[in-house]
Amino acid sequence: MRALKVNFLPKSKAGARWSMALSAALLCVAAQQAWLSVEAYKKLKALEAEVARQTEEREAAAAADRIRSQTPAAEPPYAKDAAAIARIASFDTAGIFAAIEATQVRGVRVTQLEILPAESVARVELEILEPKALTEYLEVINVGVDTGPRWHLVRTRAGLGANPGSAELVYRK
Amino acid sequence: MWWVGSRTLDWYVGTRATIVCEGSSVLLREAVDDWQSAVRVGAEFMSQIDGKRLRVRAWLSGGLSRPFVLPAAHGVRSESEVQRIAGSLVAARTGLAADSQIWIDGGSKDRSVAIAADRAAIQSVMAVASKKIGLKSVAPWWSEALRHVLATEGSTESIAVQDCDSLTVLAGKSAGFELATTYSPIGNLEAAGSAYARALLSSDAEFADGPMVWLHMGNEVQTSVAGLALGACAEVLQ
Repeated sequence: MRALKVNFLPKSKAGARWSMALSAALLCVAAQQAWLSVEAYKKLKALEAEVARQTEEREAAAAADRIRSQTPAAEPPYAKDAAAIARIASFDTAGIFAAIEATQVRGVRVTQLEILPAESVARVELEILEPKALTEYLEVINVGVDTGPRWHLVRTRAGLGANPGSAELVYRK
Repeated sequence: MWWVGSRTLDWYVGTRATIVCEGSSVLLREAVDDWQSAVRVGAEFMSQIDGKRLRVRAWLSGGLSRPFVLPAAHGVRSESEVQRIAGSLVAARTGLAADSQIWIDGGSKDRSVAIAADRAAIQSVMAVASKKIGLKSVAPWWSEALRHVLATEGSTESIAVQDCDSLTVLAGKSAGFELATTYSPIGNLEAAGSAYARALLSSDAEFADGPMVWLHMGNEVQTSVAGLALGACAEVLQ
């Protein structure tokens, strides 16, 4: 035999109230979760729309950049002056003076020096007492110059009798 | 929680007596003429108890709540159908009215036991509930005696429970019930013992002798049965 769990009382009203209260509480929780889900979904959709809008803006801006890069821009009025100032500033006037001063070759004497920074050119006239010294002078004044501006021999004149000869060097690229 | 600070009472309702106990203390033990008087006297007594709210376990006598074996009905599927079959057997198996309230044990598929109880008595007991008196349960006292014997002895193949108006005999092997009947009214203890023996002998199966649990109406009991509701008025006879 086994014990009999007899109770003629109907299921307690208190128990029913607890069950109803629990059911109501569970319904409230379920409703809250459903509402939160809906709100989360709305936020997600809003974020997606914002991302799409920003992507569209970026693409439009990139397209505009591409168009601008293909169209040459109109030259500003100060462009030539600015270029001239840049050429003058970049011309190595001090270097030219230093090279002239440092180049001392027997039989060659500097008679005239002209520096034109705006044209990126310098000219020097030489008096040649010994013809073979001109070649040496040109080598010495261009020592260490591999690329860029250098001294070029543009004219020579042989001396007559006791008169010395002359030469003109131009400093340019 | 409403039960915090409440007092728990055991209230016996029979056709010959009403008893109110709190633990091992007997608060009320009075002979009555019928169950209606038992309800009235008991309710009046409890309503006059000062102080805390009362939580009451109501115990019906065997005369008011009687068991019977409900044979397995193959093909019966619904609970309502089982109830209907049990209802059709109440008068023949218990002697109570056909409209008695029925409780059916669903523990065993083969041999279920059903309990028929006087509907009017149950409703009267339930009507006692109030703000002061909270009913926790309404059950046969013999079912409490069975629980107690199984808890203390582990198992038994038979048990007899005598209270103020009846002798209830239960028997079964393993977990089932093969014999469940109430003899009411019953006379003295000697008559009850004879009826118990006769019931076991007349059964188809043989059952080992089990205890008899006796609810006293007087002051015969010198010691109480611990762990048994109304144990202050009870005795277990082996």
